[in-house]
Amino acid sequence: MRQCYDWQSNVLKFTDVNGNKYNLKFRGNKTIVHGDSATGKSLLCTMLKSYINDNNNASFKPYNADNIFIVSKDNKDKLSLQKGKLIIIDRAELILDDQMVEIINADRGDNRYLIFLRKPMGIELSPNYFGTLCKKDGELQLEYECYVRGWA
Amino acid sequence: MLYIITEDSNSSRDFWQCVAQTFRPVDSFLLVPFPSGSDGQNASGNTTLKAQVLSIFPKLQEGDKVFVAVDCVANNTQGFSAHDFVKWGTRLCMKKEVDFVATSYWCFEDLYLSYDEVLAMYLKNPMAENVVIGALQYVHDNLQNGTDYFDTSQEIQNFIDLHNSAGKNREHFANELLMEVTRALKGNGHFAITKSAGAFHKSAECWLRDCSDIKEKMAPQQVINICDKKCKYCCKDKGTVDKLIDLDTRSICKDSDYQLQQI
Repeated sequence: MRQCYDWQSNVLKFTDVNGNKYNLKFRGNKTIVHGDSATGKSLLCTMLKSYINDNNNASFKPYNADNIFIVSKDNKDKLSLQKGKLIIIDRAELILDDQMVEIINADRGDNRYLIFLRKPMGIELSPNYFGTLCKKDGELQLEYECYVRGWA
Repeated sequence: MLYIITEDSNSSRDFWQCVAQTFRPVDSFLLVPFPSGSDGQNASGNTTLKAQVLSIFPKLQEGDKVFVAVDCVANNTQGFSAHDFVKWGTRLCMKKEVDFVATSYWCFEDLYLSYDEVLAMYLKNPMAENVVIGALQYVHDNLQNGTDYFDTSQEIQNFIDLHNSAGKNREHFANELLMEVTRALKGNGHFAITKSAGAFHKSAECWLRDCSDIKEKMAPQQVINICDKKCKYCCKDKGTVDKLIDLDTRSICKDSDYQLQQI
């Protein structure tokens, strides 16, 4: 079974049940995605959740998402227990609290983060790691907005 | 005209003022004053950066440059997002065909942590600690290579084990490390960099100020004991221009889009 997220190449790549293709190539350990509604942020999370939760239909699962942890209000207390995961936080402005922000800021690479966020919440991240989702070549891709060498 | 904007009156403001004074004609730059707060006192901090840009906007003319020295380009607090600010400033200044430039380092400390001479001087220090040497070498090399250093490596972890608060985030780490390293160089002259206002006129003045000016304030015996006998700085007995050019060519400045001399 293929992994949705490949840790080594730092790429999240899969096709959902409706044929939508996702191909997100990350630049570093943490990425903040912002931007307009209806760009596919929540859909991406919903599809990944189905691969994580659908244990009963394991034989039909096209992908393995074991190395992904999607944070919700119900499991946010488990954030500090994660290791070796791509941690995805959708609508982070509704979920993040000070303690979670501290955990994320202090994480030096045990996990990686994809954070969908509309307003600044204290995550320490340079503009190099801010991006938007966009449709390109029939895939939903991640587009970073700028790159300055010293901001890496 | 170059307009220099800083977050507050700390050492970074002194530094950039000195750079402009050194490399530009005296009437070709302005250190933008802080706006007045509700109590009539000068307000500072990253939440005043927009106000500072707006205060000079009516005066801006094509070809001018707005230079913003942010303390940390990764600050995204509830009242301020460096990312949004840089985007906003760039768009605003574009309307008048004015360049909007932000400092090209993660935080001010990176400038000196990447400086070959800081590493060289610390290595020559008989009191140098192995944990600090390891962390400094690792940070220096990563900065020079344009890569992030705040990672899970043993060098970083060892330093955090000694300085708990350094593990909070990269900016804290950089600050703790630079203070530790430059404090250890104290016996060789005034090299201790701190965040406090005026540091480059006091505890860290040897990095920037003309050696002859510094010596004038010192007792003759101190000059012999410290400057002549103990100072290991490669720019010993030199002036501000030489010191800044050395920093410019032997730190992350050399790979940035603009160098100190191009300010």
